Amino acid sequence: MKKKRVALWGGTILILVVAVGGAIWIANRDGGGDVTTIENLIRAEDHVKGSASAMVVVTEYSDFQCPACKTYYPVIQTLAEEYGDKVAFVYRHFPLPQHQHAKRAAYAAEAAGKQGKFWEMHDKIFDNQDAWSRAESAEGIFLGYARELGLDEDAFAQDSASDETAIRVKKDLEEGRQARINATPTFFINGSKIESPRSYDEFKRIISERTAKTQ
Amino acid sequence: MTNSNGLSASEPQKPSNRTLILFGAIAFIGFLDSAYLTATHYAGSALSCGFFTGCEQVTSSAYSEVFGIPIALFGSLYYLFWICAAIFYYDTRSHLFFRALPFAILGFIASLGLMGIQIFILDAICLYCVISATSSTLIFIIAYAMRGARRSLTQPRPAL
Repeated sequence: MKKKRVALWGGTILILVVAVGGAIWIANRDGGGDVTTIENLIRAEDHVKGSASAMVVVTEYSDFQCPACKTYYPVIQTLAEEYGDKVAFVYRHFPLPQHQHAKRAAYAAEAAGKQGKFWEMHDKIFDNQDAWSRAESAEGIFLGYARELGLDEDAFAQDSASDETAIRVKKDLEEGRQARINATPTFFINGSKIESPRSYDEFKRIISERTAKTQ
Repeated sequence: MTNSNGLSASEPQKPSNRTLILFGAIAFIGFLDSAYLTATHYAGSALSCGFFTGCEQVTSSAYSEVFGIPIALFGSLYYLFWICAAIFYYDTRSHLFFRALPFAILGFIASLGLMGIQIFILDAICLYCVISATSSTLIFIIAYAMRGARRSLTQPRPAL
C-alpha cells in the first residue's frame, strides 16, 4: 500500500518536473533572448525617406507619443537630408499601450499617407507632440493638422477611423513584437538591430561604416 | 441510513476512475500550456502561434501581468492544484476533494474575463489562452457534474 502511494506521488512529481523542464527547454529553443533581425527590409506599403533601392536601409520602429522618438526625429531628418539616395529611412509604427493617443496618431499619419502626405503629417505630429499628448481627445487636433496640410478632411476622418488603417498599423506592431522590440525607438540597419546611438555623430558613424561595407 | 441505491447517505458517489483521469488529464493540458507561457515570459522568447496572430500582442499586453507576476504563472499553479487534488482523491478517497470542487468556478470566471479582454479590448486572440480557457471551462463542468452527482445520491429520494 505504502509502495503504491510512493509510486503514485513519485510518478506524478516526476511527470510534472519533466513537463516543466520541457516547457522551459521549448521556450528557450524558440529564440530565447533578443531576436535582433527583421526580414522584410522594405515592404511595398512602407514609408521610406531616400531611395527604396539604397544599399543601406535604416528601419525605425517608433511611437508618435514617445518623447525619445521625438528626440530622434530631427536626427533622422538631418541624416536623411545628408545621405540623400544613399540610405533609405523606413518608418514603422510601434504605438505603446501606455501612450493614450499613440495609436490615433499612427492612424492620422497613415490617413495622411493615403493622400500622399505621410511625412508631412509625421513631422507635424512630432513637432506638436507636447500639445496633443496632453489633450483629452487628440482626434480633433489631428483633423486640424490635416486641414493645415490641405488634405481632404472627410477622407482623412474616414481613413483615420477605418479598419484598413488599423490593420496597417497593427501589422507593423506585430512585426515589431516578433522582432522582440520592447522599447521605442528601436533601429535596425539592413535588418540587424542596433543599440540606439547616443548622438547624431554616433548614428552617422554607424551608417557610414555600413555604407562603406556595401560599396 | 441508506438511500434507494443502497448507498450510505453520508457516503458520496465516487467519481469513476475514468472521470478522474479525464479531470486530471485536462488539468495537465492546462498546466503544460500555462507552464509554456510562463517559461516564454521569463525567457523573453517568441511564441509559436500557428494560425492565430495575436499571441505576442496578448502576452505582451498590460493585462498579461498582475503586480509584475505573469497571469500564466497563476494559471500554472491553478492547474497544478487540480492535478494534485485529483491524485489526492485517487489516493485517499477523501471527501475534502468535493469541498475543493466549487473553487473551479474561479478558473472559469478568470478565463471568461481574460477571453473578454482579448476580444473586446485587445482585439487579438492568443492560441494558448484559448487552450487554457477551454481547459478551465472543462474542469469547471466536470467539477460541477461530480459534485452534482454526489449530491443527488446523498439526498434521499422521495418514495413513489
